[in-house]
Amino acid sequence: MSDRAGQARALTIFTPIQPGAEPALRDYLRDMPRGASSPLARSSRTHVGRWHIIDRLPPYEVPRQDELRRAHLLFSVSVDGDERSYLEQLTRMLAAEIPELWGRCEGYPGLASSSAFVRWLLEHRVRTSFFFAAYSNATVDDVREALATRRQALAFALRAQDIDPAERLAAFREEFP
Amino acid sequence: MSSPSVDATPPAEAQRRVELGESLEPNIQGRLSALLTINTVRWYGVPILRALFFVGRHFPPLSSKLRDLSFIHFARWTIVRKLPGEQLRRPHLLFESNFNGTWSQYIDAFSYVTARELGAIWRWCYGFPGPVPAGPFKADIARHEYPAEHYYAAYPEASTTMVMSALEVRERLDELRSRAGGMDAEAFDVAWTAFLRDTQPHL
Repeated sequence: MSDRAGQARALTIFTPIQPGAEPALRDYLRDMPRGASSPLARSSRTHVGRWHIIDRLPPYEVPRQDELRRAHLLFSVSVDGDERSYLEQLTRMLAAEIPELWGRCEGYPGLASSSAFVRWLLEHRVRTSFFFAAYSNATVDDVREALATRRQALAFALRAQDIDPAERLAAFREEFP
Repeated sequence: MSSPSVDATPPAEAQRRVELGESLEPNIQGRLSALLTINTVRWYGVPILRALFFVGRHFPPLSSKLRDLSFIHFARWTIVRKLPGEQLRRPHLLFESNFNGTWSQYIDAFSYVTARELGAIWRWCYGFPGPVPAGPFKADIARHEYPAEHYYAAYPEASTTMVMSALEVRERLDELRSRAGGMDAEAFDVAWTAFLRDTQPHL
């Protein structure tokens, strides 16, 4: 199995949704704040993440396709570092959302014990067969800092075009101490 | 590899996507789009896929191809044999991608640039039409796609190329910064010119 690429980890978790709870869960997911206000933004270890509801398996050209007995909540993230500590962090940071999300799933153990909740999530994990990360050794912080540095370097290069070498060196040392 | 069609009608949402060639809104965050497909694997395809993924991990032609595409941030294939509370008779192949660009551009490039690699993976799934031409491939992906209910990306303004370039610039700038302290203006002028020459494609 291959849940890792460099320092990045892939986490895929399927949890069965309680009968009848799917519409409310779907509404809740769709109404959650997005972008920088997304609950997943609270951890600086989340590169990308998403929730899907899998309520059927595609029937196209499959004879006697499997039929799901219930819908499943699929949680998938690409994160920095080990998965357990990430889920422990997420459990602390999403304390308000977790009962609305996984609380609608069968077997949800509650948040009285965060380690029991993390264990429950990991029991529902499906191991990745092949994981690709384009910049697998860069953390979220590395990427954000590098993007800021690139903007800064570009701005400096434009500004430094018309100044003499001594002034440029002084300006560089000031800009990039 | 084809089987008699049991149900060839894609859901209305997927049909709309095929017609428009656009991503559904919940799947987009800034420049990034989320894709998730599930295909059913023929029973004899599982050991072959496992071997392919093993080879791909240790002799990375697949990773190299995906890297060459330069618009995929993260991607994964997962063989699903069991789900809690379900009795699955068949194995299923989950594919997830996080990419920049439109859905249609993505599938086009995916189809033509990585045709051999994709063909080697999805040919073991029911109904796979082949990676080229892109039209039937797009229709197949749309039929097997599950829209995200919630999607998050930490740096949605950045394409994969921007991230790779930024990491390169930062590395070279850090190196210049560490040397600049001991340079006079003339030496820095040479070093700065070299920095600009080397990083120009990344700025």
